[in-house]
Parts: sequence; structure tokens; C-alpha cells
Amino acid sequence: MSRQAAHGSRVSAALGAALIGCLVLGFPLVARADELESYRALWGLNPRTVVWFVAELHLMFGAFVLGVPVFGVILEIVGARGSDPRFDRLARECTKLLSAAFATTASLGALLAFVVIGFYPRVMHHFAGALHGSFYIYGLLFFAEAFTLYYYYYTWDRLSDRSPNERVVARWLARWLKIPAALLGAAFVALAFYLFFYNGEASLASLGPTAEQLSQGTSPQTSLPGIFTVFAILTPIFLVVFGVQAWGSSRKSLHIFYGILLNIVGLTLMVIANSWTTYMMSPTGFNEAGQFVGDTWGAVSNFLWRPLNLHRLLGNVAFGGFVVGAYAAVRFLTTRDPDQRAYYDWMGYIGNFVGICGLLALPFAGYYLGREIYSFSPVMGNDMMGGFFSWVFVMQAVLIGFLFIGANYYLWSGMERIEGAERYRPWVKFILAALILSFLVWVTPHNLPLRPSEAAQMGGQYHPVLKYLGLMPAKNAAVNFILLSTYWSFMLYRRANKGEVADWNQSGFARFVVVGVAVLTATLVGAWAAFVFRLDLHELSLTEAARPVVQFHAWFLVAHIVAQVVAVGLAFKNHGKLGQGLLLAFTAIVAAGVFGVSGYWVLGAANPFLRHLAVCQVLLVLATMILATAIDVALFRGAREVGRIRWGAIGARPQYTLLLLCVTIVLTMGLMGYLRAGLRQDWHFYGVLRDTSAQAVSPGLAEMGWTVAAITTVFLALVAFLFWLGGLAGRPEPPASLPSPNPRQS
Amino acid sequence: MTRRNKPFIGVLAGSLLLSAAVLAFLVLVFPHLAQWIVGSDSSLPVPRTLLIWYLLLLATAIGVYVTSDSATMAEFIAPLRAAVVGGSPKWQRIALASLASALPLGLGALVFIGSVPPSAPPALIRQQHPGMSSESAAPYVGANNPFRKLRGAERDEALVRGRGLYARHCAVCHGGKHDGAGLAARGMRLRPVNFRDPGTIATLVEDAVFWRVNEGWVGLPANATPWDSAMPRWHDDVEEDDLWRIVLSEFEDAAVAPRIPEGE
Repeated sequence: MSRQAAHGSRVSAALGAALIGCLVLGFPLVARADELESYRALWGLNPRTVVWFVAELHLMFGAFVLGVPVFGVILEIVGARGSDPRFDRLARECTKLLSAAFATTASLGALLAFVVIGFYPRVMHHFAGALHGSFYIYGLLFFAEAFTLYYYYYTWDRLSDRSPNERVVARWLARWLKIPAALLGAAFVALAFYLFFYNGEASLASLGPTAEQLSQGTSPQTSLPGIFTVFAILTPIFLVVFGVQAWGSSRKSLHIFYGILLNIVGLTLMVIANSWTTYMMSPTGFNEAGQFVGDTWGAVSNFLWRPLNLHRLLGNVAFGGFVVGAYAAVRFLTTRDPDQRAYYDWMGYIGNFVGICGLLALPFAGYYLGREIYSFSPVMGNDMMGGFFSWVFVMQAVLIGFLFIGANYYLWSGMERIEGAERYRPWVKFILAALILSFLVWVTPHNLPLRPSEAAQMGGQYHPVLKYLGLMPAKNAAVNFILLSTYWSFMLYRRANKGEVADWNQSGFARFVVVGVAVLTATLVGAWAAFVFRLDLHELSLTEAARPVVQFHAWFLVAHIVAQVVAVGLAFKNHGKLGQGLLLAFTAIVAAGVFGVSGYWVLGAANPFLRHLAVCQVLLVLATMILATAIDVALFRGAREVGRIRWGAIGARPQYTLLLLCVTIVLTMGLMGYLRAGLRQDWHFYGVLRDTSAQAVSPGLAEMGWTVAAITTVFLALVAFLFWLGGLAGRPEPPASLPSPNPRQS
Repeated sequence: MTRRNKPFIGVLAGSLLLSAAVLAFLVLVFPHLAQWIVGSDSSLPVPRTLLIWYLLLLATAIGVYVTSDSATMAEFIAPLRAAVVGGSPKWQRIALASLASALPLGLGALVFIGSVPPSAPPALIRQQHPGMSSESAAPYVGANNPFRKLRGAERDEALVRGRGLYARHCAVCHGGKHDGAGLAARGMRLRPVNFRDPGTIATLVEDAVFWRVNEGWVGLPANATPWDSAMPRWHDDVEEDDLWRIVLSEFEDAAVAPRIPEGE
């Protein structure tokens, strides 16, 4: 451990030096930007491609480093609360991978700062003018991230004892601070969600300079919203109370506290870096002459900041899960030890599970981000979905298809290691058919690639029948059906080795949790139904003639609440599986079937309502997945097992699927990175500072494809190298200088 | 995994039959079905690119189903193995030998087709809605239709004038019913936009439609190539207010509403 600690100190020192070097060398350059040319080049390199390459690599490593601790600490908590030691080992192994990747992330960050300052001095001048206040916080937080990460990793053994703290004061503190810590934690999470993920108009109105201030050209100082001040005061209090409570409980609790601290620091780093990205897309605080007259908080909390925070958080978790899955697959394929194979098989399953959990929620977050991009600029939105970048979405559809089919494939082939799973094999063909038909709709573009002869034969650029598959109602229906099908695969996997369910009345407290969850999901759907019933149609430029169209959908939401009540009622009558089935079937029929078809009616009769219809579909699917999971957990609590899970007894195909999933998610991230940054087209800061360099033109699909493929290859090669490097520390040193005590046995 | 019941049809035969059925449906049945649905004069085949995508999806589905379970995989391979090492009926061996011969022949045909210089232009991907990021579009971004909020007689007046102007300038291509089937439409390789299609102007904010009417194909941005558009540039010949009236009447008479930016 001491050797590792020394290694960690060296890495931290190198990291600190890199950051300080970046700040010391970078800012004089930025400060003198007025005297410098706008763009520079070096060695004939294309500056745009260099920045693109480095930024994307940094983003991918960042996603891994920030995504893995989110589920790593959850795994540690699960391990600490249960009796399965594998969770703790897995959490530790994930953290080991982090420590190897962290220094590379930081180095790439420093390199990114250098290349941007070097190639785009005037851009950085504007950038620093608006956001330099956040730079210092970011730099300091990076130290905090390094310290918490390495401390978290290196104290794993020292703080592994789960027995309660014996000191009287500690026990007293642990007992009396438990409820305050829980309450403060709940308040902290709620406020963090509000501040970072809520993009309501009310909060936006209080951010950034007003139009009047901008027109006057004054230098308005936007005050932080009051709730932020509350958050700023609450956070240290929560951390101190939680830390003391954890210290009083046990060493393991204290270690988990460090893990949570690491996540808080990491998420804060992520949202600060996100603000820089989104600031370039939705800049704020400029007067009409293009001069920045706002302040740092206004610039940070720009219009697209919050939706990107949500999208990246979920994306990072999915990304981290699939990378960990691929790591496990490689380890599985390269070992013959049955115990190791069993462990890495299980690790691959968990990685895939985490990846899918993130993936299930990602389309909703992606829709939210896309919708906000449309809200910020219909021009940008149109370029994204119907214009220059629309074909990127077709490519994305193919990759997403690979992800979902691959993840399902892994589950189905993994059922071979579960005794009793053959009962559910007949379902596979139906789920597969549902997935494939949904993807058929998902990948069919409205605007088809056509030969001139085909266009002439069809009489236009749209196929008169297939064009309907390219519209939003079809896409929304397809994606919701995909999510429900994947969810059903999970359900089958979960119950693969379970026999008949126990009596519902014996499921204990879980029954009441189900009722609580049902109240939550019914409230969510009900609140949205009430909103739809009372929708102000004039705000949507609709007349009262559209009211029946809107109410038609609201009544289905009400019907869904009834379906939820029926499902829970059936569970209480010992027909929980039937209740689940009815709820899932009803949701599939409504969200994918009825709303899929009625979407075309909405398109014609109440087009602006379409965006609310998509939320209806999302809500139904989310509510169903949450409630059906709660029922499932209660149902199978104590259910008899009809077979065991033979971890390690699995073929190579599922492992290669895990590798394919990893490659696909990296490609998807690269593709979407191009899309998000490319949407600015020839603007450095959209609508404010135009890109006048020779590289201002948006790269075509072929150039984009080659670049993203190259980035993916380099990233995966670096990851493989770093994981190998990280593995060196864990290997026992061979006694090279000592002869074997018994040559016959050597 | 053990299989309790003997399947009605083998996995390999089932896969081949399914592939043949899907291919037959897409190539032989669907074009006529689509023709019947829309009442077209001629059959409406699945475009070649899409056909390839669908067949790849089918191949993926079969591959996933067969390889996701060892027993199914073994069942899939068994007839092939039997045909090679012996033990299967004669007709099965002949069928598989024919298939095995067809595969290299098919691949050879594909190579031949691919190496022959094409006589027809290749398939093109086209932007559905060229973006407003160009210089020509900049003055129109965020423009609002001054007649949109009018009600009663004032709105009717704007609509009447807009309809008249539409009939004079636009209907010859876009059609009197706004369905893109005007008299001149048949003469164009790429038909004029059908405004009634909910995937066209209904997905756009009104300023984008106004820009396209004003600037026509001349104002399309560089990245919107190929310029498959014959839309004239109207702002030299028609007053701005009249162009707004035309846009208003287009949406009204096509029975679609323009996209509205959120929060407005």
C-alpha cells in the first residue's frame, strides 16, 4: 500500500503541476489576446480537428471518471448492507480503474486548455472574460477530486471494518445524528436537483442580465437565486453532520461517506465544465455590440446548462457501466481460473445492468435536451432534427439499436447459466420481434435516400406510405416500445431461477413500500393529467376546437392511474404477476399503440400539443417501470429458488457482446459530441462571435465518421493500456533474487 | 438448455423461410399494398437503401435469436453438419448443396454489379429542412407573421388576399389543394412540397417558411447541397406583407399549424 500511496502522491503532484502550469502559462496568453491574431496554426495541423480530438478524448475519460463513482459507491453500500463480499470487491476494482484513468483525464484537460489557448486565442479571451470566475473554482475542485479519489481508494482496507464504533461518544453521535443526517441529505439532494436539473422559467427569469440591462449596456450583476444561498449554507452543514455520523457508526460508513464526498465533488466539476460547453451554444450576458456585460453566474447558468447536466449524468453512468462490462469481459476471456471466471462473469453482468439502467433513462433526458435546444433556438433545433445534422440522428438510431439489441442479447444468452430460465426462453422470440419491428420504425427516415428513378416513381422525395414511419409520433411510439421490451427482458432475467411467489401477506414491509410507490407514480401521472386537462390552448396558438384532441389523451392518463390501482389491488389479492402483466400490457397499448396512432391526429389537428403528448408517453412508461419493479421486488421476496446461477458457466459470445456494447457506446458518445458542438456551425459563441477561420465549415458526414472512429480507437487503446497499467500494482512481485526453497515444486 | 417439445419446423429451415417470406413481402407484396393504400397509379416499391437496411435488420434478428441460446444454435447447425458429414435425407443434402453453391455465386454477382460502372445517378441523401444558419436567412430569424394574431374580419381579409396571391403564384406547383400536385409538379424530378403532409411545414417555425418563400432556392445555404429545389425567390416580386399573407393562408388551407417555439 505504501508503494501505491507514493504512486498516488506522485500522480497528484503531477496533476497539480499540470493544472498550475496551465493557469500560469495560459492566462498571460489570454490576457494579451487583443494584441494577438484570432487564429494560429502549427505544423500544418488542422486546429479544429486537433481541438475536436483532444476535447472528445477528455470528455470520454471524464465521463468514465465521473460516471463510475456514482455506481461504485452504490455497489459499496449494497455490499456493506448485505452479506455478498463480491459487491465490495467490485466497487474497489472499479475505483482502481478510476485511479488509473484519473491522471489521464487531468492531463487531457490540461492539453485541451493548451491547444485551445494556442490555436484560438481570441476565443479564449472572450471565454475567460465571461467565465474566468468559474475557472478558479474548477481548478481548486480538481485538487479536491484528486484528494478524495485517492483517499477513497487507498483507505479501502483501513476503513473496511463494518463493526460499530466502540467509543461511547461515537455511538451517541451515530445514534442521534442519524435522523438529522438523513433529513439534511434529503434536503441536499432535493435542492441539488432543483438547482442543477430544473430548467423552469421561474428560475431562468432570475438568472442572467435582463433585456433592459442589456440594451442599456450596463454591467448588471445578477444575484444568485436565494435558494442557491440556502444550498451553499446547507451543503457544508450536511457534510459535517453526515461525516460525523458516519465516523460514529463504523469505519465502513466513514469510507462510504468519502465515496459520497467524491461524487459530490465530481458532479460539481461536471456541471462547471458543462456550463462552459453550453455557454458556447447558448451564450448570455452580451450587449448588442457583442461585449460581455453579464457576470459569471449568469454565464454559468445559461439556457442549456441544466438539460445537459441531466443528460451527461445519465450518459456517464451508462458509459461507465459498459466500459466496466468490457473490462470484465476481457478479464473473463483471459483467465482459466474458475473462481476468477465466475467473478468476472458476474462483474460483466453488473456492468451491463448499470449500463442499461442509464440507457433506459437516457432517451428521456435526450428528448428534454433536444426540446430545450429547440426552445433556445428554433434554427438550431431545425438544423439538428431536419437540416444538416438530421442524418447524424439516423446514424445514432443504428448505434442505439445496437446498444439495446446487444444488451438484450447479453441477458438472453446469460440465461443459459441460470437453472430454470428455460421456462422463459419462448418469450425471447416475441421480445426480439418487438425490438426489431420497433427499430425498423426507429431507423426509417422521413426523408429517404433515393435514386432519381425512385423519386420519379414515387412522385416525390417521400414514400407515400413509409414516410409516416419517419415522423415523431412513430419514433416516440417505437422508442417507448423498445424501453418496455427491454424492461420485460430484465424482468424475465430477474425471475429466471425463481419459483412460485410467496404469499403477498408474507412480504412484510415491502407491501407498504409498493403502496407508497403507487401513490408516487399515480400522483405523477395525475398531476400531468390535470395539467393537460387545464392546458391553456391559446398559449399554444390553438383554438377550443382542439380541446377534444387534448382531452382524449388526458383521459388515457386517468385510465392509467386506474390500471396502477388495479395492479396493486391484484397484488394484494395474491395475483401480483397478473397485475404486473396487465399494467405493462396496458402501458404498451396506450403509450406505443394508441398514442402512436393518435400522434398523427395531433400533428394535423393540434400540432403544438405534440410536445406534451411525448411527455405523456414518457410518464406512462416511467411510472409503469417504477411500479412494476416495486411489485416485483415484493412479489419475489422469499420466493423459492428452482435453480442456481452458475456464474462463469457462460460462453464467449456474451463476453464479445459486452465488448461490442462498449465500442458502440463510445462511438455514440463521439457521434453525439460532434452533433452538440457542430450545432453551433460557424459560430464560436452561437449568435455572438462568428468563426471566421478557414475551418469554419461544418465537416461532412464522411469526415465526421473517420474522425469519430479514430477518436474511438485511440480512446479504447488508451483505456486498455491504462487498465493494464493499473493491474500491474495489484500483481504479486516474483521473488526474483531468491531461489525456490524446493526446486522440485517450483 | 433442454428442449422439451420437438419443434414443428427446424431453426435453419424456419430462418430461411422467414427470410424468404420477408423478402417476398417487401419486394412483391408491399409495392402493391402501398399502391392500394394511397390509390396511386403505379406500384410503390420500398426504396433500395431502405430495403437493404430492413434485410440487414432481419439478418441481425435471426443471428441474435439463433446464437443467444446454445441449444438453438446446435439445432441451427445440425442440418448443415449432417449434410456435410452425412446422415441427412437426400433432398436436404441437395437443397443445402444448392444453397451453398448459390452463396458464392451471389457474392460473385454482387462483385460484378459493384464493379460495372453505373449508368444511373446514385442515391442521394437530402436535407429535409435546410437550416437558417446562412447569411441569406439571418434577417428572417425570429420574424413573426404580423397577421397571425389578427382575428375576425381583419384575419379573413388577410386570408382572402393571401389565397388570391397563392393561386396566382404558388398553386401551379404546390397545387390548389396544397398537396404538392399542381399542374407544373409532374414536370419536376423532385415534387414540390406537400403542405398537407404533417412532416413538412407543420414541423417548422413560421420564420423558416417565410425565409424559403422570400429567398427560394437561391438563398439555400452551402451545406444544403444538392440544391434539389426549384422554388423561386419571391421577395423581388411580391411585397413583404403579401408574402406573410401567403404563408398565413398556406398553413390555414393545408389545415396544419406552424411550430411554436416553447415559452412563447
